[in-house]
Amino acid sequence: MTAATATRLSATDSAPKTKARNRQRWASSRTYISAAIIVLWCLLPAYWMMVTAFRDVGYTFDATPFFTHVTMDNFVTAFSTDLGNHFGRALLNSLIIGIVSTVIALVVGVFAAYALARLNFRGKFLVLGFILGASMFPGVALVTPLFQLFTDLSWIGTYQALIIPDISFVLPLTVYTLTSFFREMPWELEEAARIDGCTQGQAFRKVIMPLAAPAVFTTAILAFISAWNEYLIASQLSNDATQTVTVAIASFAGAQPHQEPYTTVMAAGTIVTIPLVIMVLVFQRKIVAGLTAGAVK
Amino acid sequence: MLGTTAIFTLATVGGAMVLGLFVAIALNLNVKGRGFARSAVFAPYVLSGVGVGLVWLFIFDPVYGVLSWILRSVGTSSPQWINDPKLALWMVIIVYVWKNLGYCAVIYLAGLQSMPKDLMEAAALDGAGNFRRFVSVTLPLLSPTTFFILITSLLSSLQAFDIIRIMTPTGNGTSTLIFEAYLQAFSTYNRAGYSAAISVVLFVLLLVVTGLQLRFVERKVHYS
Repeated sequence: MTAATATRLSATDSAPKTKARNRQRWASSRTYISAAIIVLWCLLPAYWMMVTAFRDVGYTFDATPFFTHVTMDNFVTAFSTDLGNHFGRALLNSLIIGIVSTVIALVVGVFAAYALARLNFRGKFLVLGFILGASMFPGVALVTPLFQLFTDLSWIGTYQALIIPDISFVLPLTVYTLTSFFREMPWELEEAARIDGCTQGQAFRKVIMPLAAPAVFTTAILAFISAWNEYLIASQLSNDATQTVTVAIASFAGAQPHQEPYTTVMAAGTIVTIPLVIMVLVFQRKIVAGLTAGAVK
Repeated sequence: MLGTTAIFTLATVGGAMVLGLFVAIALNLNVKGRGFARSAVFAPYVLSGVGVGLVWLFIFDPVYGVLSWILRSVGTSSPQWINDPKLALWMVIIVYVWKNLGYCAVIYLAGLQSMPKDLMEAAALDGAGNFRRFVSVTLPLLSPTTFFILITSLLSSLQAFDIIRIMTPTGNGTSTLIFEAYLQAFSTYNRAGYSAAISVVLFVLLLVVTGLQLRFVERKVHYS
């Protein structure tokens, strides 16, 4: 509503100019205020997380809204293997699992999406339907059978036990996003390359891939984020050696026994979320483009 | 279980979409720091549910939380967010609305920005007021966007798990279909068959929603 007020056209304004200007100023300051409140509402939990993360454990429940009793101890505790926290290891695990899942899903996804967007073959709609259907399947129902299977294979505590289920939900996401991107590419260029004597494979490698690079990059970000945040499967199919960050945070031990280790958890939470927040700040446009691919016009 | 799922899904999807639309309208203006505001609003959407759940749990804590501190300083005591099953459900809904608001906002914003400006101007010249322009021009033009957000939000909120698991580990008042399936299989009940049955119901529900999307997405309303 405020949007419309601010862009109010002078043609519709019969009031004197100063009055109109005052009203416009009031409208724009109202917009500023409401925007500021929204931004605050979105950022406050993250801010509070950081305040608590840097606060001395003895002042955990101090509600002072500024940085007080600043210390790095919580970060030390988070990484302390003496207390049974495997956070450093978990960060490495999450990176490995996230990157491997993303790369595999992208390699398969690029070809699948190319076929779905560009080639005509029987049952194309069915394939797309199955891919979407697979991504709909509730993960909860998969965990028990997977656990039995991976126990039989003695895979519990290996990376593939987490990477393979991750691919099952990252892959539909990449195929779907990339297909939407590929549908909107200028295919005349590929045809031109074919006329100039390229094979279909050459045209794909030399013309389509460079054009698709931004889309592939965007999809990679989305895929990595969803693999990085995965919790359900990781919580059941990992052990101490392969536990991911989400699992590690949920099962933290603090410096003080018998006390919920809020400060440590917030320190670990800061480490896990800050890279994602930076990623959003840098690549926001690309991420949104990926989310809206094929959606908004 | 179905009732809880219905309340949870309707409240999270509806809340995030309505708030998201208004945020998008505010962000669509030429204000300074718009890029930053957009990123700030969008950031919660990509954060891990586990981390988000833990922070909010700390904020909602009825004794030590910031929220209880704020409520105490205005003279009321904090409600029992975690122990009261009704409030626990709304606590989780608030957090999910917070998390998904940015998603709805940025996609609505993309929709607003691809909207032809001349229609707005024409409506203004015809003497339509702010509210009238919003209802008669903006909303209809945004209907494909609204449909897309509705479907994707329905799918994601039917599968919402992490935050519920972290904030209410025992499912006290928050046993939506997916979380009940989890509790039946992995907590003390140990009823894998029942859990699988719930999962099948959920799967069918999700397929119906996806089917709706595939059926209607090709012939969505266009005004160009």
